[in-house]
Amino acid sequence: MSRRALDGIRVIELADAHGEWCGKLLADMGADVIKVEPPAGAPSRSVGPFAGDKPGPERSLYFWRYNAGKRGVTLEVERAEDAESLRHLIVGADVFIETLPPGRAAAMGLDYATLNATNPRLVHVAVTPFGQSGPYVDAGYRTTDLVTMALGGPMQSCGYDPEDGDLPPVRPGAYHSYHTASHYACIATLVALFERETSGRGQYVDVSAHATCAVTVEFASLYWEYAGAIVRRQTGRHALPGQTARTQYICADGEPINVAIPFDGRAYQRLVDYLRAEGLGAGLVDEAAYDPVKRLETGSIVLAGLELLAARHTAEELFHIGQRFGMTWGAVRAPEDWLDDPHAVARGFFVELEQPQIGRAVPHPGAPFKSTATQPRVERRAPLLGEHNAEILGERAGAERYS
Amino acid sequence: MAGPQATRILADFGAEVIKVESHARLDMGRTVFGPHVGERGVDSSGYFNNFNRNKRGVTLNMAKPEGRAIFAQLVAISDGVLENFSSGVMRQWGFDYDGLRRIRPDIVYVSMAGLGHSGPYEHYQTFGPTVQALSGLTHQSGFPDMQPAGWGYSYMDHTGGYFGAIAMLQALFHRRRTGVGQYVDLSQVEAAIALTGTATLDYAVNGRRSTREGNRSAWPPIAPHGVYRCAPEPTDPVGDDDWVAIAAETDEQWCALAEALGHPEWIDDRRFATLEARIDNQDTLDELIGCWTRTRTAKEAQRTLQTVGVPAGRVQRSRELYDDDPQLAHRGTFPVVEHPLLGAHRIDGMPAQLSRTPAEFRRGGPLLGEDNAYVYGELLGMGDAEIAQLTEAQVLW
Repeated sequence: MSRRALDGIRVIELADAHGEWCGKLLADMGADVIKVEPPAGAPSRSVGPFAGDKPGPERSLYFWRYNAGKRGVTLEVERAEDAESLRHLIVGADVFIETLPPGRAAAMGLDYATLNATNPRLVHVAVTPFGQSGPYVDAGYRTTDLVTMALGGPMQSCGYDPEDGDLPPVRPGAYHSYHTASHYACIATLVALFERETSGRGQYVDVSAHATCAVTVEFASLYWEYAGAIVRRQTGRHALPGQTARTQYICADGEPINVAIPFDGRAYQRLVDYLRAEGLGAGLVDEAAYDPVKRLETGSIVLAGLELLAARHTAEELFHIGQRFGMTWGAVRAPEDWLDDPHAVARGFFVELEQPQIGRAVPHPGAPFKSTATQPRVERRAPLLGEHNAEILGERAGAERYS
Repeated sequence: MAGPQATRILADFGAEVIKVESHARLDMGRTVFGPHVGERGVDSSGYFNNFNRNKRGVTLNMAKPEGRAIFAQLVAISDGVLENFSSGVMRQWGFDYDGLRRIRPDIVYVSMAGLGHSGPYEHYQTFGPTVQALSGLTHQSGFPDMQPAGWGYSYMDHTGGYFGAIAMLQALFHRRRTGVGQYVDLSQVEAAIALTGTATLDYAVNGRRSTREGNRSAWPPIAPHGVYRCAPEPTDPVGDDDWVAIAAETDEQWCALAEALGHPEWIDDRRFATLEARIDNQDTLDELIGCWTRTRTAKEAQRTLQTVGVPAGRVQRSRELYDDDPQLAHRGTFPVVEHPLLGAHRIDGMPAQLSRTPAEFRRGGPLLGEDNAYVYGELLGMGDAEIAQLTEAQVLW
């Protein structure tokens, strides 16, 4: 097996959804991630969907997805003996990821000052909804993915044109406040490990999911800071202060496609030429549309031709047609459409992992990048409850016997 | 913009990032996207300032052989190269991985093409909305009986950039431990597919096609779980577009919610007594909650419900993020940088706070070619006359 960047790095993960994805990314990059769960199992084991739609701690596809690559141990941290085992694991580790409510780590004797005194090389990463201090922490604010996506700002931009209905802002599907918090936690972990190579010292990292979302909203904040303007939501395209032309059209097969007009002048000319060749260029004399800024703000009459073009093709056909002459178009695919897509197959994106719960191998999304010297990989399925208790907790017993 | 997002993180943590641009082909982040201050020019973009703070900026014309020779000199003094051109552009200049490592054997090269550098769609071109459409992120967002709402911005320009930073950092870490550089082929679409939750597993295991669920939550099952219209802020209204998100995860939170809304009788109401019942009667529940929120501002609704332990949050616009969120203010989420022309402006800061080596914000985005003298003079050792001559010849251009 080839090397990976985090070979030899041990991570102890005591984390809910806010930190599980971070642990998984570190595991794919080669870290030995040990997930610590209570004897009844981590809360994410009860999040569906479930294999065969039969609920159970070993059947949660959510748990499979976000914990593949890790080893698992169960500890009842309220019991002194197990708390001591946990402390021992952390002291022997390089990274400790936790999502405990602020103050709880200190109450458990797992605060950074205490851990640092025993293991000065430890990188302690705390990922919480609002961070470790501040008015919302003092007030005991609670959150879920929906609430963080609202408070953090992403949802201000996501939704529909008013003419599509009197509809609220929409939470994009699939737990992106947790993803975003974990992305920053992962970046911070790597920065701290990198820096440790020079200083020999670890450090403490405080990640707020709320704040990670607040810096992941693109244009909305820029329009407020630089123009004092508020963006308005628009179906399937960027929220901007002014209304823009639609870029999501329904194709002949009823499936949508994103057919944004190009910013680049040469690409725009190719599009005009194509539409003319297809007999859809009537009225294409709008000189203003050759100004990319005006194109972005007001769209152009080219869009009328595109709407007609969409009606002639399936979304997949039009996606490939457009890409062949350099358009940044994309069919609105479902995630599962990639499972047998020739591009994903050629790149070996999905990775089969044997799932004993259903007695067969199942494709999991693979590593998000290819790295010639340290290729990340999804090496093992998510742990069964307490699956590695003997080998992990036994390590210590063995070490003590030996000493 | 995924590339600038990736390197902005490296720059925030102290890397000397040199942004290579050219008058010959201006960065659209300078000219096309987003708000400008005053007349639209190459140095007036707020977007560019936010995504390129802390970086140095040089102009270099890669279309000229002399320009490519100078790029090779930059590579020779650098630890990493990161780009997000379409597939093939760097190769055509002679700067694919083999070309770069001939110049500097331990270079780390991260390439962030939309669909990666192999496979039948290698040459396809993307930007944020394309990545989101293709990956399934768009499909998963919106109401089930309507076309997708998708993401109202380029989430994958941020998030592709986060993966770009992760890819660069893991490679730099390996290089520091072993001295070995490498090449990273990052597909932004693959990164996005990885963020579609359980969709591909649910299909592979259960044969179930993925869908979108508006603002509801099948997993974990939560009801009520929605976004409700509120009264406009009386002092400074922004039309009629104020909303609060509410999610009562537990029976305890549901009881607290019913009491806070002045309807303790709902607790024993058969329609709402259990989670299963609340899920079955979500439409009714949403109407009843909406009646309460409509007569309150979103801020009031948030405060009232959070006080009794119910997860609730205003759908904050950037106006609120920047100017009316005490928690973000407490963390210094939007630090100020100075830009030579735009002046002092707030930027999106670093939400991961490191105790010993925190992110730092030293400067705004560079003017076009602002650091030519430093980079070509001090770093590459060119004399003033040479720099002037190469500028005149439109090489440092």
